[in-house]
Amino acid sequence: MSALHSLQTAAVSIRSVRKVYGDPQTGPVALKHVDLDIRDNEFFTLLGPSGCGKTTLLRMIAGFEFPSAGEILLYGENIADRPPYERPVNTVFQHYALFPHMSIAENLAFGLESHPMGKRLGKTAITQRVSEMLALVQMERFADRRPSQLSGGQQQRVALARALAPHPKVLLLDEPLSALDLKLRQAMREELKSIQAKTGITFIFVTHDQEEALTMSDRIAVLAEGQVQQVGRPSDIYEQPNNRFVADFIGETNFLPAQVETLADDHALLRITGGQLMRAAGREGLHQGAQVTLSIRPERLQLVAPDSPETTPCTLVEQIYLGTDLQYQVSLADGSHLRVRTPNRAGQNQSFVPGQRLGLQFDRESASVLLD
Amino acid sequence: MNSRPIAPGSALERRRALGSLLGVSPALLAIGLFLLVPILIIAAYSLMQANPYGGVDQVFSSEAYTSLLFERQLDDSLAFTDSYLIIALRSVGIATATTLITLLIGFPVAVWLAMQPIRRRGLLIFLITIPFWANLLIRTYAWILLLRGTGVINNSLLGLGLIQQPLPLLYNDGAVLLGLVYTYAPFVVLPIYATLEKMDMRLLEAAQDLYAGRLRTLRKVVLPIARPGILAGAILTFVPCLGAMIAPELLGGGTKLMLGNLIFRQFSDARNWPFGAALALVLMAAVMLVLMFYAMRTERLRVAREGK
Amino acid sequence: MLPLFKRRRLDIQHFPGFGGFSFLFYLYLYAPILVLILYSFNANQSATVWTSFSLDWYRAAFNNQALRSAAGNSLLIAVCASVIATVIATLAALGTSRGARFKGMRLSIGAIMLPLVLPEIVVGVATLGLFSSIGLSLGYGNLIIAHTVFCIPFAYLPIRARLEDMDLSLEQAANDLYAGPWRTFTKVTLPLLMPGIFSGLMLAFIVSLDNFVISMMVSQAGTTTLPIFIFGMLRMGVTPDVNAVSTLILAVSVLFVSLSFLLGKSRT
Repeated sequence: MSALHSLQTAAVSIRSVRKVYGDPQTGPVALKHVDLDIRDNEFFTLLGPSGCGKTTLLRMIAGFEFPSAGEILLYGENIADRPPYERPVNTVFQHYALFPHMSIAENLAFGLESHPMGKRLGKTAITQRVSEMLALVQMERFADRRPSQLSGGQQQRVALARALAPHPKVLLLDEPLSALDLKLRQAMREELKSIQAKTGITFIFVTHDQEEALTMSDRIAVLAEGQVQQVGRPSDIYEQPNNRFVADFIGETNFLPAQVETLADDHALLRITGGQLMRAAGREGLHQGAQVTLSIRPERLQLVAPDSPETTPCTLVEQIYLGTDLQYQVSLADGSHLRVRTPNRAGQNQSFVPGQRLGLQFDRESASVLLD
Repeated sequence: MNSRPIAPGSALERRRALGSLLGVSPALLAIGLFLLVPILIIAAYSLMQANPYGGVDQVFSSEAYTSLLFERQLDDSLAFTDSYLIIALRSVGIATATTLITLLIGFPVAVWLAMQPIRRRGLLIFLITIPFWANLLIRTYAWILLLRGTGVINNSLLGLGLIQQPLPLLYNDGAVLLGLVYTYAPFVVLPIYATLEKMDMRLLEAAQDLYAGRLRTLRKVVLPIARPGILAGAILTFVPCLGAMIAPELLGGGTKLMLGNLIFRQFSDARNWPFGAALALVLMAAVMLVLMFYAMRTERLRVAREGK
Repeated sequence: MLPLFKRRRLDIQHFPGFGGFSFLFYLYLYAPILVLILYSFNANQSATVWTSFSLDWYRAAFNNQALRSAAGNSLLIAVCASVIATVIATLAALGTSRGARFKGMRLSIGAIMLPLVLPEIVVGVATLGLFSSIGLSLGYGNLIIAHTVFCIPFAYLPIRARLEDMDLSLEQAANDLYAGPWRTFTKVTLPLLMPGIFSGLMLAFIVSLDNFVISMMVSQAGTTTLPIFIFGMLRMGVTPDVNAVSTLILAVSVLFVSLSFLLGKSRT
């Protein structure tokens, strides 16, 4: 897979892009130095907290903003200095930005009519493409309505259809689900994903919602403070976070200090407080005896009887009922606190009392070594 | 090559800035040519000699400014005269009184408006703006119908037997004040309302929750929030009142002059253009001073609020 | 449930006395206007006591040749001045609210507001000074120029307000969908701006129609406007046909303000 991809040209390449607002020396820096390759036909997500630069990056690909330095390549061609209307990419805006004075059909036709190709296309072809798009998002019945007569979810679909209508090479989605309520948001996730598969267009999706990112993306780039923190498949990002920020931002985690015991080709053995040995994937820059931080997800920990073998003694601090799960907070001998999470299964609930002494069991292979 | 510093947006940005400038230029041209240049011209006029048939003779003279405060005696000596000073002071006095009264009237009305249900507010605001757009001359004239000797008020009072003689309601400073307050009250209500409209009503609940009564809530919560609106309303009233012309002419009977009438007369009956021009410049300077004060105060309020 | 008076007493949003005071305020605003309208339909010659309903004063007003020509002048001037001012103001609003910042932008906005800020009498004197110094005597032209200048800020404000309210992402969406600057302007910005432009046009029109002070300073023989004519009538003594004319002018103003209000509110 990767061999094939490396031969292909990326759909979008961000090369050494930097964005400073106002004065180049003293102005606020939105993006420090970003390099990214987004593959053809990929559902790619830019994930990060607000102010991390993800929207700025998306707007630079769209052409609403221009990089202070660097290049933006679309299938190998630098488009960084082209205005938005000369870039074959389309955007689904956060609040949809449907033209309120046009009908749904007119909204969908707008891009086709504006495009130089539209004149050659002719009226009937445009009408046909519009109904095709309406069918794709199941909005045929609403062609003559005005945007204000539609619900949020329907407007969302129209915005998607409008952006797809002119056959963009890349579709940009700027937190398109953030204005919808929870149920609708979950339904739209699946729909977006299936439309992406159906159309085969590269999607670049911006969100601050980690769940959205994990469930929809082929690959995710986690951004913070104007820099890419990690790029990878959802499982890579979740299971093997690069650094403290990524581990903490995505899901819940425990941080444990550890010392490198043995280094092998592809893995390392680390000893944590309490004496247990953990196995984790190797990392560049590790050396024997080094002090590192491990990230262990709460669901990879188990509470057992204190006298069980291969356990670390701990004390229960509190127990929280979460519905689907039960969460426990325990303290170790060195005073550090860890979170443990178990699924809430009928009849299997372990009931402990705060203050009770217990044993903590680690999945030996579930930790990842953080770089900082 | 990768980190080659480029700024592809800057050329586009420059083009857009040029477009903006082009858009604004007709307005600037119109206002420059037909308002700013004319102000320079009357500044020049104020330094020339009056032509007894109207207009000016192009001979330098500081007479216009001298005659603001001095009267030329028969022997050509100058004696101090306070007649114009009194008119100026009356203008300031009436404008100040109008401002204070409109604030006293406008504040409760604005508070009341801000507390009304949103659906009703639009109409209530609209009802306040309508007279504001109706012809000033006609609105002022309508007061004559009410105030004159045989007007509605006097007729009613006479009919009820409350008075034997019609009250002299018209042609005095009181009538001028009444007309000006009438004209400018909407100018005060609207900006105060605009500041209160954005107020979070939960602030009132918070104040009440913290044991503040209505009066204390009004003084300690509503009034400070309304302050920018009060200031704006005061300026919107004071500035035009200073140069008011219609109310003193119609309701004051044209005998007790304000600056506006005085200026107007220099161009009509008195035919002393340089003096009229000098008076207009004095009025403009006064207005500019007030506006500068306003700009400084709003900046201070903003700094006090936002802390930068 | 609490009795009504007790609920109101507890309602922090209710300030006792403010409602009654506001009612009096509205009465104060409308009393003179209502009296004026009432009198315009009064049959009595002396215009002081009500006798019976009559349209005589309207008839008299319509038959007054000088009055009709003054009304015609006012309309002509108001139409020309408000249209020119609105075009200029629309460009200015686009320049200040769209496109990029340029040096002196705040100063430019200040200059556009100047006719609104300066006392009318100062604007009138200055305009008179200009026309007399260059000997410009175009009849209507002089008045149209003077009116255009003070109409600009009135047209500018609602247009700019509409522009600032308009979601920038709509124009970006048009750009994104391959519409260049011109197509974006004609297909998206302008149609959405239209209510603001109409609103500005209406306001400029009324302001021009109503203007007295500046017209009085600038007008020459033969270009008497309606307010100047009414002022002349008032100087000669109050006659009931003034009431009729005034009522008509009020009706026109209210009509235009209402239109402006409705258009400004409409969210297409």
